[in-house]
Amino acid sequence: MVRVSYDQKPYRRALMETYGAKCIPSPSNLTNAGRTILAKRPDHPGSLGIAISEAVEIAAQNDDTKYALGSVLNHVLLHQTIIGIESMEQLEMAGDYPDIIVGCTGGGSNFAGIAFPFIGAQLRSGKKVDVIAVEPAACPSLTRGRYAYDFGDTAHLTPLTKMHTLGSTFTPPGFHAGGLRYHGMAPMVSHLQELGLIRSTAYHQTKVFDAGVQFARAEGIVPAPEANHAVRGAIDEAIRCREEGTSRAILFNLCGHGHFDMQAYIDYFGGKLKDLNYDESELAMALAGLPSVAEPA
Amino acid sequence: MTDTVKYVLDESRIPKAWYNLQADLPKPLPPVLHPGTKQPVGPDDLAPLFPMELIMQEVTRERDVPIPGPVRDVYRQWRPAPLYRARRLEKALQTPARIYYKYEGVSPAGSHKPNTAVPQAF
Ligand SMILES: Cc1ncc(COP(=O)(O)O)c(C=O)c1O
Repeated sequence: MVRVSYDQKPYRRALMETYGAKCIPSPSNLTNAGRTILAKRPDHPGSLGIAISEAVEIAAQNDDTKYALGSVLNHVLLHQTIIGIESMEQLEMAGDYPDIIVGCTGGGSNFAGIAFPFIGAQLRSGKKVDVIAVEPAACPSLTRGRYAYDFGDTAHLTPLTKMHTLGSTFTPPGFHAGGLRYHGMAPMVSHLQELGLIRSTAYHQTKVFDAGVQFARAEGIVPAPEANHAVRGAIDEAIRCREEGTSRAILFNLCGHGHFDMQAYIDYFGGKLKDLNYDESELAMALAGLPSVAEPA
Repeated sequence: MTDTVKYVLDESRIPKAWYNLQADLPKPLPPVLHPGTKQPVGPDDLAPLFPMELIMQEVTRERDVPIPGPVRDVYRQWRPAPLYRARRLEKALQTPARIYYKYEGVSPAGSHKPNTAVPQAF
């Protein structure tokens, strides 16, 4: 578990322990990848890229251990398509079909889950949908990253995939949507953007929380900070419909509730959320570290 | 027109297959490369990290990938997840748009993550 989350989200950790898991803060002393980082900086806050290095290292060294991941790879996106398949049936019950689909993107899995079945339908039968990926302005892989081969982790143990990336050395600033703090994007989602089948947009976190609170006060459910990005995107599309006087059907993925993230809401109400801009020179530096790959034809 | 808020599917309607977009892509994904050789990887290269079943799911071009029975059984603990029509939000925004949201917060972990955690563990 990424060190900052381990410290800042004790309830999430306790939930995992309730199910029998043992949680170890990353970077840890159990792996080469972790020790190397701790030697340079003993109080390193960790990142998803580092935690992946540590997990992959342990999986590679032990025959009885495999690596399980939360996003990015095709099979994870595949499992999430159950979201969109069910939605399609439910919209049929409603006698409706989406004109616009909105999802938030960290590694791309919940977005893929809601959108891929509809994109597939479009490819097979021409039923057009406008699909929008919403990401944080502080970790803007789709809107500002480069489409290139890169590693999925910091220690460069994973295979190389072609994706929109901010560079595997990128340590995202500590804004309040931990699930969206990853340097890369699912290769499949990146590919769709290259093919022009989806578009992407980025928001700062205060505007994102404005939307989440507005949503909670109308609908009752408090969304996860990650999900607030999708809420923002959907509300802005609904406002555009109002301004244009058109009635479109908008479908978005409310991928989780925010009960474990109420500290983020406390900070928002206390005016403590900062809108961090990801600096152009820092971005250029992280991108300069991309591996050089002779692209196969 | 009805004024339904939640569209709820019966348990028996949990899908029997996941949908694989790779089957319908107009252009295939670029290959995955080995971190050392920078040549395309094969399933065996990934075997130390992932179970073979998941590696096959990673690369298949089949459109429908069957959901194993035991995974569907666990999905029944919270799926099908409800689809909401955000009628109150539409009113608050005074928008002519029809807003729907799929709520994945009903899972034990409170997010979409168990949709993949369960089949990966299986
Ligand atoms: C609630 C929630 N939403 C979104 C994400 C981002 O992941 P993905 O883009 O793969 O859906 C996470 C990941 O941790 C999450 O917990």
